[in-house]
Amino acid sequence: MEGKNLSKEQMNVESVKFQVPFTAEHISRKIELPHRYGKDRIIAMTRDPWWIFTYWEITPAKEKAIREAIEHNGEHFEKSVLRIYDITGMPDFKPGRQNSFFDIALKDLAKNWYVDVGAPGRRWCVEIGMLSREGNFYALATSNIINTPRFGMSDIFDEAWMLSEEEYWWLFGASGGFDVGKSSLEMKELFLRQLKEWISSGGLISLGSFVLQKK
Amino acid sequence: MEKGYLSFILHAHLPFVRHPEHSSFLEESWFYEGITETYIPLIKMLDRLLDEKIDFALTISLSPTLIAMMEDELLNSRYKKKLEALLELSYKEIERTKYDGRLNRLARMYNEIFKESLYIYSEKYHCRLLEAFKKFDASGKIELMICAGTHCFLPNFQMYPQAVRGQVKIAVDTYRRVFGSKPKGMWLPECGYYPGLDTILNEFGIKFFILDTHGVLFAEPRPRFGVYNPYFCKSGVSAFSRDIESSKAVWSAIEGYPGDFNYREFYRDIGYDLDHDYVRPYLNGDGGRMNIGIKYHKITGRTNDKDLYDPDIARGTAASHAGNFMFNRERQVEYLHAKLGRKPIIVAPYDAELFGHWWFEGIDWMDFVIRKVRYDQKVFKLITPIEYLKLYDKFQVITPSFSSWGWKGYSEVWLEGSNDWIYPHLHMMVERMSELANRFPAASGDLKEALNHLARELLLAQASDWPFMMKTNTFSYYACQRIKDHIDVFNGLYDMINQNRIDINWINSRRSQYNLFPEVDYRVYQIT
Repeated sequence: MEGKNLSKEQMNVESVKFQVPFTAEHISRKIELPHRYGKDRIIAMTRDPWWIFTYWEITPAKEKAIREAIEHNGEHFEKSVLRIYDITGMPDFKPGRQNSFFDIALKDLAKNWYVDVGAPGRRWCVEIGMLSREGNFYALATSNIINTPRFGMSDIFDEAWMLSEEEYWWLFGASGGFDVGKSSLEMKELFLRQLKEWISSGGLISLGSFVLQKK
Repeated sequence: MEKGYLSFILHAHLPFVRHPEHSSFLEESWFYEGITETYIPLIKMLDRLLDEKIDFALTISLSPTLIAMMEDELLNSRYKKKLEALLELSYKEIERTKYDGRLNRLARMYNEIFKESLYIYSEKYHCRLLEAFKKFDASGKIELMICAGTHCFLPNFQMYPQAVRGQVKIAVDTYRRVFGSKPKGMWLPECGYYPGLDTILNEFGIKFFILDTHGVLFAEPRPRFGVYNPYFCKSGVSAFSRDIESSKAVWSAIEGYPGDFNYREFYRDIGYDLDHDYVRPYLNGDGGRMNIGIKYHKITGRTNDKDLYDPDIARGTAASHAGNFMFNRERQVEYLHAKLGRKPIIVAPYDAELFGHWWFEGIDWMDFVIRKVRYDQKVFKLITPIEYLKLYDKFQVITPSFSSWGWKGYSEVWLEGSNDWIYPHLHMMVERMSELANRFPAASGDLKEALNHLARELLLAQASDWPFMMKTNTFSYYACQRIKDHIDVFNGLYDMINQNRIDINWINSRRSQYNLFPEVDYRVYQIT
């Protein structure tokens, strides 16, 4: 299956550019990069329609201040969490105004996380914070806003540029690499089957795999 | 009258690798191989087409880092010596193989290729390959595009628009300096697009870019012509998208043309096959075995027992594959024309280095396709994206979807376990760059030099090649060292500027190694 995947093959071919064997002659100096930059921040990145990536840095001072705030309120620290907010349909993130959220409990040393949001076509914001035993969330840092892309065709049509449903299916099938000689119905079946396979294979997507269906 | 169009787009790129501190540096050979096996054969093909006044159209994207290497005196003089050495070796090969007719013929073939390459390189273009591209640009048949600065995968920097702007601006400025005009098209590295990127392209006067198929298919609203027409983004920039069918034919070694058993085998090279002492002078300085570029075998089949290559048969195969490619496009265009109600454009983008370097006969194939399309059929013509845009008054307006042409179609190649450690550093560099650009809105003298060089280090660290090599585990040690080096130098320079102790001699020595982007302007990183 993999060998037939166009974009995987393409990746193999691209790497041939750098096909030179290993030798010891490189930039040889030993470089130690900073482990921290001393700035409280959390950054979110989109990996694909289902997954986002987030990394963060929290200074000891910030952590201390929030722990003190928890104590000050007569509450008790329970655990560090990532809180992922679905803010689809909103331009900005305002705490309390989100559509929904979920938490991921963090292990002590984690500095980043791949989050399975499992929902294409949505808008997200992430906070890292502390959860008190009393159930309150104390934010340490708030991320940038990101979007997971839609997976599949838009339901929104442009009146000035309409086609019949049947014509769309033929066109999408042809664009997806299926043989132009097929009927709309065949194209639709092939295209939908392909989308379904992507999703059931855990979101492994590559348009190149369209061509697997071609006879 | 033609019923549709085919648009070939070749994207040529290599990361900036230049190590004057070593007399011979292995990774520079990516560039030397690229010149011998792809860029010179491509130039040769295009010169011939222009000389014969063949009607055709081709789009070529050159990355700013590749342009910088093509301009560089040191790399050019090193390359010329490499090519002369190859020629010398080919004479030895003619002598060595004189009792074996078939092998001897192949040795003579390489000798001819290297002789002609040396002529094209040093006599015709005076070790300045960009002269050829300038001529092509003026021919009216070849449209040049630029690619973002250091081939940065832009979606991974979308939270910092100023970083994306920095990549786009240096590309446009490089193009303007070298070719004397503004580029119309920009190749998005790895076809990496996110909604909103087009707004930045528009700020710099870019008219079009290329997307992978799903960037358009999953666009909003639904695209009326599938991938067979360009669309306008709301910013006014137009987006073209790749046709899978024609991509697969060339990219796929299994189902596509390059895997044909008559074609030359990439992995059998005399650098590995012949006596070590004999080939040692033509290897890298340390004598480690590597590809030299003289390969005598054909793919043969799924076997390690490879037969000798036959150039006539291979050429015939390339011609018949070109015929097949043309036939398939004719059929595609006929159907699409009938269904779409306007003339389709089939966009076929490829890495330029695929042709010649990976697929030895690829340049011949393209030459055959171009000639056959001109003389053997009337269904479609070749066109450039910018010419196609002139054909119709109206194009649908859509918002393309986040996408790339990388494995799995999104960001994962450049954002996964092997390479995600780079982003906390790279993003912090962007923040620091903007912090200083805001603090010093009109620097001059040494401070200006320091800030501009800081921007240069940031750009170099952003190349998508480094995370790509980590992911594919090809030369990942070099990739890690390179990116760490740029991060470390950036951070050192940032401290230097902050502490007001700029060492201009140190900056100049660093600049003499990384001598690209003379026009870089740190102020692009200012944020309001």
